[in-house]
Amino acid sequence: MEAITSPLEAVRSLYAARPAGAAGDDCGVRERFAGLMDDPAFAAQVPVLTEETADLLPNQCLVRYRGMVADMLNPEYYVGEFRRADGSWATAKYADQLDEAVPEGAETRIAERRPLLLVPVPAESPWAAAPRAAAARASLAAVAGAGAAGAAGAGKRARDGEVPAAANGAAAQEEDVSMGVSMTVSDATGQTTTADDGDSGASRARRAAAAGPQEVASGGGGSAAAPGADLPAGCCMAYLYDDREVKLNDIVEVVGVLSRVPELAAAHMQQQEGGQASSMLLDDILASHLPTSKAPRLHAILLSAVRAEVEAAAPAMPAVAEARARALGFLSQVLGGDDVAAEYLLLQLVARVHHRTAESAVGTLALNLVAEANSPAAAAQQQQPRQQLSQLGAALAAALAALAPRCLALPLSVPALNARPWWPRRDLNTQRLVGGPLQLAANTQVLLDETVLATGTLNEVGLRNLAALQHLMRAQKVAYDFEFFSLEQPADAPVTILSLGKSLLKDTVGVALPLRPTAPLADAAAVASAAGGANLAPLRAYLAAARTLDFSIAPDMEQFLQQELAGARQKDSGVNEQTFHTWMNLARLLALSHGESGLTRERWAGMRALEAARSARLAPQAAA
Amino acid sequence: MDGPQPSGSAGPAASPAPPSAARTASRSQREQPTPGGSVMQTPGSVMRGVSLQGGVPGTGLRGLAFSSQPTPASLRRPDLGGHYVGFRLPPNSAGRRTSLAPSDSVPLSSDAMDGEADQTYIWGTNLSVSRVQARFNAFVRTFKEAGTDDEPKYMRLLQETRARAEVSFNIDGQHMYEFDRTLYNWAVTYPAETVPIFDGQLAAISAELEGCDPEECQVQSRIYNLRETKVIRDLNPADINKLISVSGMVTRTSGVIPDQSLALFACTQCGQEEISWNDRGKVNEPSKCPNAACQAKFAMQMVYNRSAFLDKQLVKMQENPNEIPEGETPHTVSMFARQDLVDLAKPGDRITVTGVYRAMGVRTNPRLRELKAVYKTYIDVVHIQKDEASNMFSMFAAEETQESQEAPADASALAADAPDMQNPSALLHTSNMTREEMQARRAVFEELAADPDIYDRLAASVAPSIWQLDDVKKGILCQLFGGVSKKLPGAKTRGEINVLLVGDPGVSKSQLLSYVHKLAPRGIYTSGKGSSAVGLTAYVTKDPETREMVLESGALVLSDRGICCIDEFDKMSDSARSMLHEVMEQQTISVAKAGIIATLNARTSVLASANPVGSRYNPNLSVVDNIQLPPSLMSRFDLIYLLLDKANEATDRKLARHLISLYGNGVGRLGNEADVIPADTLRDFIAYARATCFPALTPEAANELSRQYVEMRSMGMSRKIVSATPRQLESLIRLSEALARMRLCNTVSVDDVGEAVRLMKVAMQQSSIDPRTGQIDMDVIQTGVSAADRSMKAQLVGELRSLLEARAGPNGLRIADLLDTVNAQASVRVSERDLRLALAQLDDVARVQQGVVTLRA
Repeated sequence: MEAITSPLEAVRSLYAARPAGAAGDDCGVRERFAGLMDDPAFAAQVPVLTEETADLLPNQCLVRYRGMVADMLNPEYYVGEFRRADGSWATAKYADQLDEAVPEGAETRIAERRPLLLVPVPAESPWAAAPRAAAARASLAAVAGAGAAGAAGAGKRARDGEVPAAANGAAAQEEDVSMGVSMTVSDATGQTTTADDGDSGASRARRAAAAGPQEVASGGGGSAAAPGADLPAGCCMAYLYDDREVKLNDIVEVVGVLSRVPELAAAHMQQQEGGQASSMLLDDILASHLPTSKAPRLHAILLSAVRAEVEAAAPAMPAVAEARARALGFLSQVLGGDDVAAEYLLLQLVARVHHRTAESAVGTLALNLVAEANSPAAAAQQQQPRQQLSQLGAALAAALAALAPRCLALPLSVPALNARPWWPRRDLNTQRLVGGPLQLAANTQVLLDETVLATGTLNEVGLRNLAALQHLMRAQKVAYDFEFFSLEQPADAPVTILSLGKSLLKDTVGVALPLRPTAPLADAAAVASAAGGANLAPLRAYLAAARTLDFSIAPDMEQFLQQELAGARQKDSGVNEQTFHTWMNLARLLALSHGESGLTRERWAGMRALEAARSARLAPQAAA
Repeated sequence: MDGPQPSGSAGPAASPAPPSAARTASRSQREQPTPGGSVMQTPGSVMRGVSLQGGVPGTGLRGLAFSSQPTPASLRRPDLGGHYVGFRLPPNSAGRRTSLAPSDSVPLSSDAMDGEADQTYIWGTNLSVSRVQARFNAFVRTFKEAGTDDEPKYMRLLQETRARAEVSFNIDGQHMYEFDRTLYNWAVTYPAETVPIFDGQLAAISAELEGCDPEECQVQSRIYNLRETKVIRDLNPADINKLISVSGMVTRTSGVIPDQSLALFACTQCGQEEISWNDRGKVNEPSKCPNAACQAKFAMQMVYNRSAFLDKQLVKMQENPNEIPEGETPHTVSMFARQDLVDLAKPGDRITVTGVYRAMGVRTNPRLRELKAVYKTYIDVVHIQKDEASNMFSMFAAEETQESQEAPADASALAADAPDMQNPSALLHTSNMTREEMQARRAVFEELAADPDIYDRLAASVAPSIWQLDDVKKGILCQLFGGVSKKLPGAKTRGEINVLLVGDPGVSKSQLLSYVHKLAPRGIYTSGKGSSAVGLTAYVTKDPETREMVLESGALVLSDRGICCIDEFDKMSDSARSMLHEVMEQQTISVAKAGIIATLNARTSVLASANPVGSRYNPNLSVVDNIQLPPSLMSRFDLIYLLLDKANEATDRKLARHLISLYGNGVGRLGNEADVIPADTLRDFIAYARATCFPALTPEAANELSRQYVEMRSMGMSRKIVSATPRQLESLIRLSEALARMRLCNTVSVDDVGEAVRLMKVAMQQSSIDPRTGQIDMDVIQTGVSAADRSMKAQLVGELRSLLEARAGPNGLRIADLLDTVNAQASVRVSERDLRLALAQLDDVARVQQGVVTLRA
């Protein structure tokens, strides 16, 4: 419990007890906390930092956080250790402010830490996010109780300034307390601060009111926007104190010390008034010191990358067959009873980037579902507002979200494309990466709804958005724009396009499949209720397991496939290298979707049958 | 886009590749303020808060001696950020006074390196000032480059610098290391202390040479080319206050900031003057008049025109794209450039900076003076080196020089000839490569070139994932290596080879193009459909900041000395295409817009791909009819390849095997991995070859060329068609030169000529065959009409004339009827287009109106 409410004390006692001469090393902090976290009872008590709980957690308490690495900022040099007046060394790790004042002219040691901007995982499906939100709320109880009981340490009170009045009858009184606490914190670090320093609701409101007219006056220019206005809710700035390898867009779980520094908001205000030179020198620092009301600071003690969302134990064969059949049935229902389309959509759900070659990614295919232009589904589109998903698009998105851990649905309409850049880019002013919808964690299903596309002029942004989408579909890479060059980052996001007629992005579509619904297409509400009614957990586990399977082709199968491919080309001159790629990809995915890690003749035949059904649908279209 | 973007306001002069691969920093053109002449100049001598007042008499008084005009002094280095105190010095260090001996107190001829009696130490070290002075003195006075003449290099350079009245004096760190490792280590470890000593010594030496006061000989030493060049992400706290060298790309520069270095205050009551130095970024205003008689409070007023200011600029640098590990974002570093380094680097430049790494406490709340727990880091720049060489084609510096001189045998000797460069290794100077690595690289290239199979290996390494097309790849390889451009009296011939790929959709044309685009730095990839004339060439735009009209280069100018890959060439607009005429033969672009008339260099090879008309290649039509490009443009391509999709069981099997293993266990099996040269090596090899190798024709090769050419021409002569033109001869020369380059061979052999002829025949066989005769006919390319065609057309006109005269009554004949009649008679099918063309020639006798042909009266 102590480790949760005052982790810094634990760190400092470990530091004080370190063997002599072990300057700058970890002093066993990580082992200590890793050991504690291994105890499930303890781990459950550690509060979870989310958008909801951010304002309820006490300063400098131990928290857990789960999010995606959205940006990696310049490393920061800080006073790692300093010598007290009595000659002993003290550590300043895992904290923004020191409890004791550094003596004037004290000897210091400089250390380096890496700031990471963590954001809630984008496009996360509700079924994946909801249990964690519940856990976060539950975890609060422990801290709140401790906070009320122990008025012990300054800065360890729960500051309830943000709690809606209903939650706390004595909101006003609470506000006073919180302000008093923040004063104490400041004094302890040798800071003199005015009363208007806090993140308390009242002062924030005041500040917002003050900022309002100013923004209007400056004509709404980019620099006048409130600092960190572009940040998604629930993000946090995590500091990494060791050399652990972290990659952009990794989903990570962090255990660390929560920290709020109210002065930062004031520093940002100052910055906006300052001239160019001062701003250029400071903006690096400010980029990683966002107002803590927007992005709380988290000093990471433990950090681990999250790989799988669902426990991906390979289920037994009959279970796979059953789960596969159920998943197919579910998708077929959404697609109006079109079983072939359901098969292809299922393959999308088990697709992942198997590996990469210089030009392309092996293992994913861009799927184009073509709704008939004169179908009822199409007719319904005409009344749809252009910025939103079509009815069928929303239904498909709901279905994908019900099965996949992450699903991003984007309407591919002219206004939506022109509105803003979708590719991630670094902002000149803030020195931070501005995500854009295409900054995605691995294993995110992307659904592009092209049925809402109407005639119009694409501007430069729109064209670049389209190009970025094509690049994603072709190579599973997204080019991040860093002012003077763009840097390609690998992505792993299977793309499905829903269109009327052939897709606008037909060059990069691997498989185009006209829909032939036999029943009316479902709408989003129906899909949601179907998903809610059924127990989809086994299906999700099955898909996650199938997706992570390794895959290989046995030598005798290789011979057979060579025969097949070369023979097919002899028979039909329309078969080319592209067809080979498509077939190999589909066959691989089909085998995976059956829970098999090797290709068999049966699956190959199944793939050819699917492809035959698909070309049969395409043929009359070509003739028309 | 791979290459660095030139800055938006690139003027005509800035657009082509700069003449040298690595320009050193000193702006020799820029006039330096002469000592004592201007107010904006180097002020007196206080160094890093270390007061000199307690030092040896004569220097310590320098600051006080200042009364009417600021006196320049030798010991102050504002570019080391003298007035920002590094945190390593505790604040109380100001109390501990250290003296720096004046430079002239050391006997200049001292050869007793460490045995000097004057033991003044640099604070916090056991480093004696006199030892530094003596060792540096010895370095400057005696250092000679290995294998050069007897005059000490830096003495000569010092004299040259002084003669040009420059202040910056570049010292190659490598030289210092070779000469005296201890001195080098001191300079790197204690730059803020040692560099001012160096300056003092340089001033003293030049004063001795010129016989004047050292005060008047202002020289600032600028050390560059350190042994280790770091990338930004490798900087760590241990580097603070050390001399470091980092490479990166400039992303932002601030305006020039006047940085007050000293302020002169005068009492408004009594006129008493007081000088206040900039101390840690702040000038303290005296609150009380120092005059004992006056003592007026808050009466001191700053006299601006007698205070001193320095130029200062904040520059931001970002990591080079190739230095960023996968899955990371680029780091940035801030830098302060001062005095003549201001405005030297522009956004977009790749530079290598030498400077002192600093950390400064950040006050998150400026109202509070305490340093918070976070440091802001920056570099005080000592030297900026523009680094063009990370881009392969910029290594053409050597070639550039070669164009004006005759080809030297050894290119490294060539680079050493440039006296101002001070950098004999400018060649191949990529961002972080030491001399040893460079030698190793060179050895690898030489070894590659010595391989007898190099030609086939290279061909296999071009786009290894694309199947077959061996001859196409060889042609592209020739294009990558390029011929030698020659300057004849009054004329220039291009060395660039242009290649056109024509073929069915889905035969990996675009893949080939994008591969070449990646392989060739300054490769620009455009799609003909999307690019207007503006996109492909240069256009005039208004600079949003200055409101001046500026020329902005388009793809072709940007790919100067590179390869411009144009996809969907056939879809390109006519106006854009017309620009290409000039580019592809003269290698320049003329722009006449908005009152700006300029000719820009565009020494570009063009690699274009085109789809046939009607998207599928019609084997019954000629290439020209299939692509419908103007023949004038077609003839400018050295090689035209037809890529047709043909089923071939054997290669299909090979492809199948490759794909199966690609999807099975993740490793593609191409069957020739061992021979494939990795793309990086290939890219560098090509750059190296282009920069160092300038093959010339041997007499035998020249004979062979003329023999082959005559043979090709005579082949046509016998059938009254032209099978080779002088343009083809030029192409043949270029191709054979490129082939010799692949072997890094300075002579073109007979075999090279043979292969060049073969390549051309293969290319021409596919493209210039007259489908009716099956023979090569250059007329198809040159005029779009084959000889057989032409004679047929002449026949048709004759036939028509007689036909019309016989059949056309007073009401005339409908064209459709006429066509039927003609086709009924003729052995070859005549198209309506042919018929109309023939009718146009019969304008004197027949008239076509509303689809009806009538005879003229």
